[in-house]
Amino acid sequence: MNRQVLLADDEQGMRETLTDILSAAGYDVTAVSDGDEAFAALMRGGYDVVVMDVRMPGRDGVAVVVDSGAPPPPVILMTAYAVEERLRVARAEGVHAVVQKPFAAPYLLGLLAEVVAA
Amino acid sequence: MSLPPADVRVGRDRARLRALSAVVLFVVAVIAVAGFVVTRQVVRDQEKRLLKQRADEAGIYLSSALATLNGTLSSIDSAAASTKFDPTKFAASNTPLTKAAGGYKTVALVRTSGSPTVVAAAGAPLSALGPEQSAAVTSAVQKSSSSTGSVVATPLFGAPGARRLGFAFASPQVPGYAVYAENEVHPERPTPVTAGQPFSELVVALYGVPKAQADQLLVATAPTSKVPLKGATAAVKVKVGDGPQWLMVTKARHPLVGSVATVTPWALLGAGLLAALLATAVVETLARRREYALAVADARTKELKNSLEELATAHEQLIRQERLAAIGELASTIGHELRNPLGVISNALYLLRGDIAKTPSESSSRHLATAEREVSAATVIVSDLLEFARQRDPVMTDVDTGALLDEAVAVLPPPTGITVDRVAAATPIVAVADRDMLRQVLLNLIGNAYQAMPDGGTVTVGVSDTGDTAQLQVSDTGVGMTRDVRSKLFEPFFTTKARGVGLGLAVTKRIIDAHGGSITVDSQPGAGSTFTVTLPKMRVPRQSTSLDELQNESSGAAQ
Repeated sequence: MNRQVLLADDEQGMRETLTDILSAAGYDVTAVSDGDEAFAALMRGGYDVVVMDVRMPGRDGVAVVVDSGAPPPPVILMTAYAVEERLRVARAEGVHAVVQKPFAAPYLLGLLAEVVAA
Repeated sequence: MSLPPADVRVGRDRARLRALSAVVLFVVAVIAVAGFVVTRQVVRDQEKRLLKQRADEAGIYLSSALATLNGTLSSIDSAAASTKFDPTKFAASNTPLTKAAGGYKTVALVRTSGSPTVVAAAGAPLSALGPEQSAAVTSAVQKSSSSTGSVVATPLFGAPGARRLGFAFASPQVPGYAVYAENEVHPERPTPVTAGQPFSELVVALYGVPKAQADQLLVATAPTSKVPLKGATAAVKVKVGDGPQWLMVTKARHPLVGSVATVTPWALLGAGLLAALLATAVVETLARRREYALAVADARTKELKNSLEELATAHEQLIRQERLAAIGELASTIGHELRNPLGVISNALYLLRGDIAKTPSESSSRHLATAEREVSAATVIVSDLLEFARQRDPVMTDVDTGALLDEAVAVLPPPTGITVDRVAAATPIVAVADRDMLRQVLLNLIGNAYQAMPDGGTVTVGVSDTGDTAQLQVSDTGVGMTRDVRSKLFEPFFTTKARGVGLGLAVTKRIIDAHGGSITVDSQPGAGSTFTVTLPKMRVPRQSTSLDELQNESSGAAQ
């Protein structure tokens, strides 16, 4: 069975291209477009890994991680903005990686492979 | 109207005040000197008048003394006449006169008919009359015949040290006889000053002639070295019987007007000159005070002007900084906003590369490589812009440099035609660095390396341990650069590329400097370039074996 990936990004282009890239790499992708949706999806459960933008409408990516409370699945955060305090909070919460946009797709795939293998 | 510069003003005022104080000094000094001259003249006149008065008194005193002499000789004559000029009785009765202190040396009875001859003598023997004695006796006889008997003095005669003075008195009752008395005179011995007026106040020199003739000095109340008397003197002629007059020269022993009067002119002069100096000092003080005030005012003005200039500069700087901050903020916003589309484009290109792999086409692949290269370039430019605009201090953490190098290569994969040769180290090399900043440095160096090889090549990246430092190296086999380019490489906005803003290496240099590290470049045109970044490594905590060392470390940390 394919690994379940929750993808959260408010940018439609990013959402679409990443969905395609991850699907092509053999992941089952559920894409949502804001933090609240991501939180709701996370509460429902069933994801092996989360790939999430930091700045989104509603809750931001860091808030989703903080609010989920229970140990969530491994999280890879993506950010276009260097908001150091938020990233520090995120790292304290134990997110697996923070990836700066733009990134090379193989780099993200490499990180996902690490998480899935762990 | 504008004021001339203060130093010119001060100089002009100073000259004017100098002239004023000179005039004040001169005028007051002249008044003082004039007062001195006039007062001294008045005092001198008064002194002269008083001296003349005293001299006259002394003359009267002397005259009365001589009158006594007249009386003495007259009584000797009367006594002799009563004994019919008996020589034996004369000698006997007059011997006491010669024995008395300060008495006569010789008293003689002289017969005057013909040439005068000594009949009898008391005191020092006198057998014959000398020329002076004869002249005096003859003169006395002549005088007594014409009038009543009176004394005639001889001039001073005899050898120095035993000078003698004689007086002749011709008997008025019995012609043919005269009494002659002689005394020894010691003008070289100062005569003690007689107490009481007028001699106590005077120095006196008495001459046996009517002029100040040194060999005729009879008496002096001063040592002979001081005679003739000099300075302010008054002379009085004294009549001695019917003979030649004597001259008495007097001089005040002390100022007759009193010491106060004598000092007055000098006091006046001193006070006047002092007043002159004081007036000048006052003028000078005022001048200096004014000068000081001017200087202070000038300094204040200068300070104020400087402050105003500083304020203006600060204001300008503030405006410039605000403008720069606004530009920086704008650049930052644009940079961040560009990261999302760049990310999407990057993803899309990745997908396209996958699609093309299914139906390979040489031209499509080449176009795709171009697009990938440009996206990489845009990514680096945006990062540089953000890093340059941000200007934050590094947040130091332990960074595995090898892992970071891997990440940089992964984030910035080589475009088609370029291969990356990663030289791996045996063990992880950890440095103290700001991870994001160091990542940016590596992205810059790798991105530049790609750009330096438009026709493809190899980028060699690696990190080595030199002990205290970690050395990161990025080499390319690209176009290389000239010495001129190398020297300007790290200046902001310097670029050899057609695109790009020239911030990459300036940002890199700033980051390395902030880390206390260094960056060097080794390059020749056509022979590629090698950038070497040297960073301080984290110090491995020592394993303390003694308590002392632990305490030292903890106390060091506390400080």
